[in-house]
Amino acid sequence: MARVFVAMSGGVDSSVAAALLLQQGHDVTGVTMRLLSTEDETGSCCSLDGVRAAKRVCDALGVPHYTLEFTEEFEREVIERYCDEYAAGRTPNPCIVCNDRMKFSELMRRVALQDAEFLATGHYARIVEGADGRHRLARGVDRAKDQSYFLYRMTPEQLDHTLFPLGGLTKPEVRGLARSFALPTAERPESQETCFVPDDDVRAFVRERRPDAFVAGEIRDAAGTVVGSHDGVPGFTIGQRRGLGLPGPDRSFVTAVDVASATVTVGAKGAGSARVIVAGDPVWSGAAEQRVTARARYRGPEQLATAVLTGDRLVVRFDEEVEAPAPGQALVCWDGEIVVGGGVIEEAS
Amino acid sequence: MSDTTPKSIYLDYAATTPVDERVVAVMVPFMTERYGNPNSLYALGRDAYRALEAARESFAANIGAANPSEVIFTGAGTEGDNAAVLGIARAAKARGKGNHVVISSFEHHAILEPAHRLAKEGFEVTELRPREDGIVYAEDLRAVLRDTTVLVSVMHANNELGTVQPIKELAAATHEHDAYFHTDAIQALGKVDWNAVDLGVDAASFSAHKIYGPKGVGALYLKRGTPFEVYMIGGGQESKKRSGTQNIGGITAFAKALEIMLAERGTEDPRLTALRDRVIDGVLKMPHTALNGARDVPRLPGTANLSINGVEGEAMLLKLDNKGIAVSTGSACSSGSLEPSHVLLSIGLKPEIAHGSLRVTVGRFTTDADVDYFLEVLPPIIANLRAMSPVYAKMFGASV
Repeated sequence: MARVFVAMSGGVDSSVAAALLLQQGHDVTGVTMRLLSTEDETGSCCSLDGVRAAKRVCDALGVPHYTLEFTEEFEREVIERYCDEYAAGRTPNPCIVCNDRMKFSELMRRVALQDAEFLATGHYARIVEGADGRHRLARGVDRAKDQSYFLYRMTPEQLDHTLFPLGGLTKPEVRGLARSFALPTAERPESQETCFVPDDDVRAFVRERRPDAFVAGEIRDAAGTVVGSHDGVPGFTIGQRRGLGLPGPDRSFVTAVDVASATVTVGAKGAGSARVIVAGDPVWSGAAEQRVTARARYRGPEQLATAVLTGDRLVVRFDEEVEAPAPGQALVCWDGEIVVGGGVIEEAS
Repeated sequence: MSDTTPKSIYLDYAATTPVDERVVAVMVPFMTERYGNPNSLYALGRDAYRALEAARESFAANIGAANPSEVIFTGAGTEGDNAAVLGIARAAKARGKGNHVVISSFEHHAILEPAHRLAKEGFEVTELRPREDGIVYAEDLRAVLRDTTVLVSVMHANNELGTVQPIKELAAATHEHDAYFHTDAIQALGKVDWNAVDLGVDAASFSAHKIYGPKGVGALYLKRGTPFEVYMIGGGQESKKRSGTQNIGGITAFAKALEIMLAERGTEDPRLTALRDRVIDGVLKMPHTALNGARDVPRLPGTANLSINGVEGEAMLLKLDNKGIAVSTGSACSSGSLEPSHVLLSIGLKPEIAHGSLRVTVGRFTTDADVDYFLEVLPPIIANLRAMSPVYAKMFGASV
C-alpha cells in the first residue's frame, strides 16, 4: 500500500484510475489542477464543472479531494508558449507541454510535499522496466486510446513516481468499470479539444493575445501564383485543407507557412510530404542511431524510420514519405512497445 | 467510508462557527410549530411577526442602534456589504454630490467586487492601503477624501489579520467631507465594543454564522436618513428595503447568538486572547516566522495570522488537514483553491512570504488541549517542508 495522489479532471478515466487504486488498497487522495482563472462552466477538463465532478467521485469513494492552484504557471508555461508558437506560424501541442511542465513537474513536486510516493493519472500508457533496469514509458494496451505520444518527455525519475492504472485496460473496459464502481462520472463525455481555447476557435484565441501576429497576406500555389488571401498566418497548419477560403473544389492542402512574408503556400495532396524530419529539444533513451517506428502527429500513421541523435537535434529518416509533418508538433519514436524519445518538429524535407 | 480523519481540531473560527446549541434551541420551533409568515394577518402570522420584531429590537439594542427600524435582516454578510456599497453610493450619487468612493485595499471580496462594479459604472474608486501594522489610519483617509466623496467603507476587523480599525475616527473623518461611512463589521461583531451611535457609522453589515449562529443570515444597519437604493424588490418586507419573506428562525437565532456573545465576552475574551497568544508564541518559537500585523495594535481576541517563511501555505494546509487540523491560509474561495492573499500583499508582504501564511482562529469550543495538539503537530510539518523547499534553502541556507 502506497500513498498516492490521483490527478483528477472529473472525467471517467481519472475517476476509474482513482477507484482502481483504492480497490488495490492504496491510500488515495484526489487532486484537481485549477488551470484557468476564468472560472467558466464549459465542462472542459479544468473548469469548475470538472472540479465538481472530481469532488463527487472522491466523495463517492470516500477519499479526500483538493483543488490546487496552477493558473499562473499554466498561463506562463502553457498558454503563452502556445500563442508564441502559433504567432511563429507553427502548430503547438499544448497537452504535451502541460504533461511535461505542469503535471509531472509542478504537480508532482507539490504532491511529493504531501509525502505521496506516487502521482497517478488516467492516461492510457504503461510503465515498464527497461533493459537497464530503469523505468520506461510504454504504449497503453488499448491501441486506439494509447496516449504515450503525449507523455514521451517523461524521464525515468518521473516514471519512478508515476502510476498509470489504466495502461493495461481498454476504453470499453474502463467504461464498464466506471459503471460497476457506480461512479457518478461514468457517462461523462470525453474532453477532446484544447481545454483553454473557447469553442475550439484557435485563431480568435491567438488573435486576442497576439494581435500583432495577424498580418494579412497571400495564399499562393506551388508555382507562386496568388490563389487567395488570409488575415494572418497563426492557425494555418501544414496539411490543413479546410477553412482556406479558396474558390473551386477544395483539393488544396497547406504545404508551407512563412511568417516573414506572411505567405501560406498550398499544393495538392502529398506536396507537403517529407522523408527526413529534424526535431529540436529532444529527449532520448535509445542508441545514438536506432531503428524505430515514429509518428509526426498523434493520429498520424506509425512508420518505420532510422533515428539519429546529433547534439541537440534528433534527425529521423523515414523509409516511406510522411504526409505533411507540421513544425511545432511532436515527433515521437518507439522501439516496439517502448517510447525511446522524441522532440519538437523543426523542419522536414 | 467517509473523508474524515479520526481527530478533528477546528481552528478556523473566522471562516465559520458551529451553531451554539442554545441558538439551535431557539430557532427550531420556527421551522416546526411557529412556521407562520410574519406578513400574514392571522394568528400564526402575528406570532411570527412578534418574534421577528422582538429579534429586531434585541439586535438593534445590542448594536446600539437608535431605532430598531434601522436594522434590515439579510441573507448573508456579503448581501449587506453589497447592498451598502452599491445602494449608498448609487443613491448618494443620484443626489448629485459626487461619484468618489473610498474603500480600504484589504477589504473582503464582498466589498472589493461591488466597488469594482461601481468603477465600471463610472465611479472613481480609491483603494486606501493600510499600514504595515494592519491599521487604516484616519490621517491617511483624510489625505484621499474629496468634496466629491460619497462613501467610505472600511472593515471593522480584518478577517485575515484580526486587526481592529479605528472606526470612530474614520467615520468622523468621513463626515468632515459630508460623505457616508459604512463598515463591514462581520468579524468584529460580538468581539469588540459595538455601538452604532457611539461609533458614528451610517451603515454596517453583520453575519450570524461568525458568532455561533446559522449560515445564510445577515443584517445591515442603516442609519435613518442614509441614502439607499433598494436592491431587492418585491413584497416590500423590511420597510421596503429588502423584499423577501424573512428567515424568522435564522433571524431569531442571530439575535440570540449576539445576546450570548455579549453576555459571555467578559470571560470569553480573556480566555480566547490567552489561547491566541499561546498560538502566536508557540509558532514564533520556530525560526523565520513572524506575526502579520503589529502585535500591539487593537486585535480580535481569537485571530492570529503568521508567516512561516520558506513554506508554501498550501502544502502546510494539506498536511495539517491530514492530521485533522482545520486552519486557513487566506479567505476561502469557491473552488477551494488558494491564491496569494490580497490582504497580506496590502500590508506590504512579498508574494513569496504571503504564500507561506497561516491563519489560526480560536473560538468558543477551542480548548487548551486543541492548541497543545496544534503546537505539537506543526513544528515537524514545518521542518519537513523546509527540508524539501528550494525557497527556504535559498533564503536561509540549509538549517531548518
